[in-house]
Amino acid sequence: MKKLAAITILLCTMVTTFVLDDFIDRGEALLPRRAGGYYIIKADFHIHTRLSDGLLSPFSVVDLAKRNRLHVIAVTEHNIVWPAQWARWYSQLVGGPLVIPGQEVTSKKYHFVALGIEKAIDWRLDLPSAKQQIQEQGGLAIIAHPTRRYWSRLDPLVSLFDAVEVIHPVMFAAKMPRGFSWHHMVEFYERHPHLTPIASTDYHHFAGYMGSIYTLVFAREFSQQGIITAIKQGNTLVRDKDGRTYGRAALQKLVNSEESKNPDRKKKKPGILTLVVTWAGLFALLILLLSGNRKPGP
Amino acid sequence: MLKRPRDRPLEALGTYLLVLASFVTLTTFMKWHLFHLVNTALFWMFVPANQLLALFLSLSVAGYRRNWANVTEVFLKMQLPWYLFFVLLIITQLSTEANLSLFQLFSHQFSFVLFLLTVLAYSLFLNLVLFTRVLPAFRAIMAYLAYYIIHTGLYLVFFSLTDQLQPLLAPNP
Repeated sequence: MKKLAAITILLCTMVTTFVLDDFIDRGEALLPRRAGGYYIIKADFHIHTRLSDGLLSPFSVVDLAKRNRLHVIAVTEHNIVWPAQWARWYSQLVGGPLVIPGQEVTSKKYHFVALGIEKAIDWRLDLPSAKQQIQEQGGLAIIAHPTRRYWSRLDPLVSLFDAVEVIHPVMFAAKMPRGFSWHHMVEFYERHPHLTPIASTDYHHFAGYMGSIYTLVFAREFSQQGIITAIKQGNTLVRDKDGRTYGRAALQKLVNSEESKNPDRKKKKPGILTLVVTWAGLFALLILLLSGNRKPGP
Repeated sequence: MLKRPRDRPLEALGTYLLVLASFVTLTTFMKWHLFHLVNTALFWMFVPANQLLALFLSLSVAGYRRNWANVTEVFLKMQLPWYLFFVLLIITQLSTEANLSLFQLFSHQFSFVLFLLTVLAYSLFLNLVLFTRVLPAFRAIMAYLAYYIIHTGLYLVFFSLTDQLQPLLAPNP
């Protein structure tokens, strides 16, 4: 009886959430603003899914990005590209953000994001050969979280890269993990200011920072090619936790004037009904788990 | 005479997947979503599949030939400490509304690590109880050890097949 009641409550919470959220709160167009001849695009270029070491499916990642009002995401699994292609397919189906396929090329020597590729890059290749393959596919290379241990390998070959991750969620950590310091990333960028600054969440799990850390890309056209061109031209702007910006000052002025005219809409908080439904469902789940334990029989 | 209740291994598997999917969905979206629950359950199916395959292989090798449906159901229900652990994580995430990952929230807290270790130890103990209930003592212990070896091996095979073994073994930055 308890079990039946729990299942009923759980099903009711699903239906109510569907009506409250999936059905009513959908269909918002994800179009970037325009200013000064540019599309101002919110993008996250470093996202993982369950098909690598993340928790979410490629479909759920797309939905999470849509809810966080990102215009563009790059799904970048470790050494494989096909999950990104699944995410792109799903996003086109549901009218989600523009998905650029990518790969986090992961080896002992370095990690970097190959953005805008369709075929996986072999992680065993040396950097010049890997870069050549990326270029042949029309993509670009972003240095991922350049912590100090990679510097000696990256420094001599830095000209092969187009951009670098300057902003990473680790900047919010009260105590940064050993050897993984955000200050190293900033220092690396400051030594190589010709690289385009990128802010990425390196998303793996939970609510995370998706939507609160992003790169603003200033592109002449809202397309994969337009975005790749903009990054190659250095047309990005990123902001750290203290409000300091990295990127061209002219782009910052453009953003300031645009934001004063059209302030960003705040992310909607869940309503009281959603909260009640969520907790009721959780309570039902707990009852379901605690009812009906059995011992092994013959 | 009392009739023994019917075995429901599929129902137990459903509960297992429901917990996993609820954990991922609620800690991410902070609310229920049928679509995300279903697709998360599908994408996480390899975890119980791996455990059940390891259970089947280890018990078979040890000579167990009786009620597989019952053993499967009981084994899945014995994951209760983990289920409760995941529910606790959901409650923490929902009640703190933290815009950060739970790992950050907990990574430096001794109490969390202690709790995790307790759950792990209790779970190891429950699995041992299951093996000793269905097999004689010596064979049970051998099968129990074989279970964990096979379990680990199957994960290595799975990650190799999905091209993820090398990234997992590559050192983190």
